[in-house]
Amino acid sequence: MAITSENFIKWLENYAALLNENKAYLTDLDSEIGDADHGINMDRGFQAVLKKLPDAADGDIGAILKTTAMALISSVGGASGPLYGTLFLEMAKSADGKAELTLEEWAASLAVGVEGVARRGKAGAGNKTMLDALFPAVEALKQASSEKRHLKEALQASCNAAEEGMKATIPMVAKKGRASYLGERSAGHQDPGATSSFLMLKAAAESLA
Amino acid sequence: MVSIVLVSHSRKLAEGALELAREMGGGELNMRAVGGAGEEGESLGTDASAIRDAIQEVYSDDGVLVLMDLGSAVMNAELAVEMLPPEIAENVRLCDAPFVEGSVAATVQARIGTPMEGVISEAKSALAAKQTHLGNDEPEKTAEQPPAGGNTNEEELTFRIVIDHPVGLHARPAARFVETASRFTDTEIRVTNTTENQGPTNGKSIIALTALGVRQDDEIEVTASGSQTHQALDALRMLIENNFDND
Repeated sequence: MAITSENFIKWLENYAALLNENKAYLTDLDSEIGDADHGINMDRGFQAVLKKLPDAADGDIGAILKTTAMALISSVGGASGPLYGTLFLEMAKSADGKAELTLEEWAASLAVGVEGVARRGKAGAGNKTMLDALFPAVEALKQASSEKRHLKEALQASCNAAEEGMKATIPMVAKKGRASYLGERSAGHQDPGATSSFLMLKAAAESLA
Repeated sequence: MVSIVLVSHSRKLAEGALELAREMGGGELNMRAVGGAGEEGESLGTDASAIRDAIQEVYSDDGVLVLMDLGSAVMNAELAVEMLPPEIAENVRLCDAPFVEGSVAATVQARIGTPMEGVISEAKSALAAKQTHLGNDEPEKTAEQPPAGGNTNEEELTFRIVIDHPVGLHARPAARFVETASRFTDTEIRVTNTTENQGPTNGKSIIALTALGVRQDDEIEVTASGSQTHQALDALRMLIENNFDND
């Protein structure tokens, strides 16, 4: 069973809806340790994606992801713009020309995207960033893929791993972004970027299979 | 000439920095200011595709130098370069100089035809003038150090003159001085503020020159060594005597 371009459209629409529902929540998280704009920025970005998606709906998965990246880059404004923009841009390159992806290909594509985020943000695991949700999600997908698990199960495993990773950011001390200015005081708060990344994997579990 | 792109979270700041840099002497330089997010750039933020477009608009093979403010402006500038065709991207440089000071310094230096590396080094030392003036910190050692030794066959000539311009040797007068001195590529120009006992320093660097803190009625000493000492000193003396082209 493979993931089709229709699945990808559904995923992005679903993620946009989740971000819209959680706009105030994400912004509240961000007001604790950042500049209180994460929900607003992500929602603005994905509303722009929704507007552009119809142009790419007939294209391959690479085109859909690239359209998403460009819409985010031009509309988000804050640091999430280049970070999520890079994530989708790198995934787009690895899915170029493909009408569907196998589980193995999706795991590889997400991995490339997440590496792009780490490179762009000069961040690693344990810095209290979106990567703390994304790295475990990639690992879970790769493992499920190597164990030849069903797509649906694999996606759920990656969503669960992202959720755990997100929760694990609570005690962490931020090393990157504006939260890092707070030093030790950033501990005790869940990272907003890890939260929006978890929502992305949650939407994937619901839509990609 | 090196082209320059200025990137800020605030469109007003980017445009303001551009205006300031142009006023200091970037008249005919290819420059763009990019900033702000949203369709009209009305909110604070940066946009990698707008930065990429600006780079392409001003591009020449002499290269494009991008100066940016902070945070996501840096990431978006990097992303913009990655979005460019490789043959253009290889001639684009991102500069870690302070935004406003660096923009002015880079612009003045680019306009006199300095190649990319020189423009970058000038921009990076752009805080020196302020540091020296406020006395908080030792200015960073900059590329303005003279080449050691020098050719012993070259003659060295000197003149002293009082600066009559109301702003002293800062802003446009300093830019004109650097512009004039830089025409004599094989001649080293050193300037000392003899009133304040500052210097000598490189007369072809706007940053080094303004760091001398020369005010109106201060006396400076200008020394030239190299192949065109007479011509260079004549040109500089004429510039100062004409009060920097009635600037």
